[in-house]
Amino acid sequence: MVILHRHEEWRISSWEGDQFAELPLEGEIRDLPSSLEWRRWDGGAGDLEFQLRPSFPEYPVIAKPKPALTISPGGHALFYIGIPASLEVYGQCDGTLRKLASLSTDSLSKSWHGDRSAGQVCYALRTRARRSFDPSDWPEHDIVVAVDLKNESSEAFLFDRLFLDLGHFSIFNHEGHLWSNACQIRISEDDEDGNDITYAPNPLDPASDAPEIATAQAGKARRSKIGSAFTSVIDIIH
Amino acid sequence: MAAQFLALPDFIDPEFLRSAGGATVVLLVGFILLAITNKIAIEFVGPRLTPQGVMVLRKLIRYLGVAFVIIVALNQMGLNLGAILGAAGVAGIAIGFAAQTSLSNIISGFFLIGERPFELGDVIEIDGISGTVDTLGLLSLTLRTFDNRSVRIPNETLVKSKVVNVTRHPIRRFNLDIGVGYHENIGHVLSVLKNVAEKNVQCLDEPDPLIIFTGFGDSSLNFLLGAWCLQEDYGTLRNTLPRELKERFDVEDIEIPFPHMTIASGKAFGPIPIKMVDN
Repeated sequence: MVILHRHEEWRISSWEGDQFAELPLEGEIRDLPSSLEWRRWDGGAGDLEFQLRPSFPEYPVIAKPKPALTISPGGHALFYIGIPASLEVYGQCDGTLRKLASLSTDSLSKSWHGDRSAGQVCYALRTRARRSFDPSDWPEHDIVVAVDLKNESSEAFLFDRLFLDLGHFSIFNHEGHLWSNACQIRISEDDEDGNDITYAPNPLDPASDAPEIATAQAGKARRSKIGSAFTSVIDIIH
Repeated sequence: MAAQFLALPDFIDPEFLRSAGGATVVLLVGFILLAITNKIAIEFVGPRLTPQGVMVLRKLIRYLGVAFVIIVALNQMGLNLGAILGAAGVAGIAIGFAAQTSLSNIISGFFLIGERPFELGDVIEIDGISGTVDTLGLLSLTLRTFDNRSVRIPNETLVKSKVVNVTRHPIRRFNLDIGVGYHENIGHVLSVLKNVAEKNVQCLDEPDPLIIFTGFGDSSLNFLLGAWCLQEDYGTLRNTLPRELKERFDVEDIEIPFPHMTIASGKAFGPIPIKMVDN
């Protein structure tokens, strides 16, 4: 990504892959390749401030452990899910910081949660849900979301898929990694209205004291419900 | 002098003037009330209806309301409506026969509003014509084709025909039939198809793409790749998936054969005998 402030306007160019991998971090404008595609926003002469903020992707996500895990009645399992962060670029326009662009740090694959006649678009995560957090093995721009699944039903629960709405998660910064506040999802017999999800105010250790750098987009919540969180309800009829 | 100036001419009947004045008041008040009634009805009932339902309701109120106001105004003028309606009764029978189709269209329109097989903005296919539903009226529907032509389809036709609603559901599957050479490995081809679908940006991860071997064709091994996408991505997927598939097949050296036929002689795969004949 290249951000430019020139002729009282902001210009942003972004690309995927290694197309412009040889571009130096600093240089002259004339050194920029002419094949860059720019988006432009009007700004004033004194509008020089810009900010980069991390955010969650615009759609909910579907995470899958590989292989699936069976959680016994009364048991619980903690998973760490990596969600590729998006980068929001804010630029000063007429004295006010405005959001200019939102760029994903990874190309996410679209998916569908629901059946063929109703549902919502979401992203399918490529990295699997893990049982532990290893900073050396964690993708650089993935936000660590700790999800504790608690089986309060009387039957064993097969966890092979989780639909997660990201609206109530904030982002914290800890030692070069992005974390979100943790959550617990309860699985019970009475899940007709959805699964109970409880949000912690902070991430789990070792990031429990991390400072918050981005607030939840849908606002902070203590409890919520996720409809059909674990159900693959697509009716496959060929 | 002033009184003479204000006196009506002899040919103007004061009674007629009173009637005409009354009728004018009836018309004015009637149309104002009609407009208010229309607005109130749309405000209270409108949210429960589809856009085409609102359109039909508006027209109904307008036509019936105007007819009622005119009848009251005529009554105010002193016209004998009974005689008019009596005469109209005879004419009505003749008109009824002539208006059969229109009545059928109107009734079909009500059925369409109640059943809601499609709504304004939906893309439908009927009798080989595809397009976007532009308007749905009492008598007919207007379809706007993709090359921007306007097609009027009577409601009766819609009720009687098979109508395909392309955009009813939020996701759609794009089916692509593929044939590869007989010397290709079926398992390898299935794997390549799956990989191409996974990498395509518009292709949804779930529902899983449908990838099946459909049979041994005359000239090729046949497969079906059914990739799901959002409605709005269908056009893009239709363009990108075949191109990406072809490019990948070229890389993997998977042949897409053209239709061909091998002619063999009666003795299995022996050469076809050729005899030179001198005339």
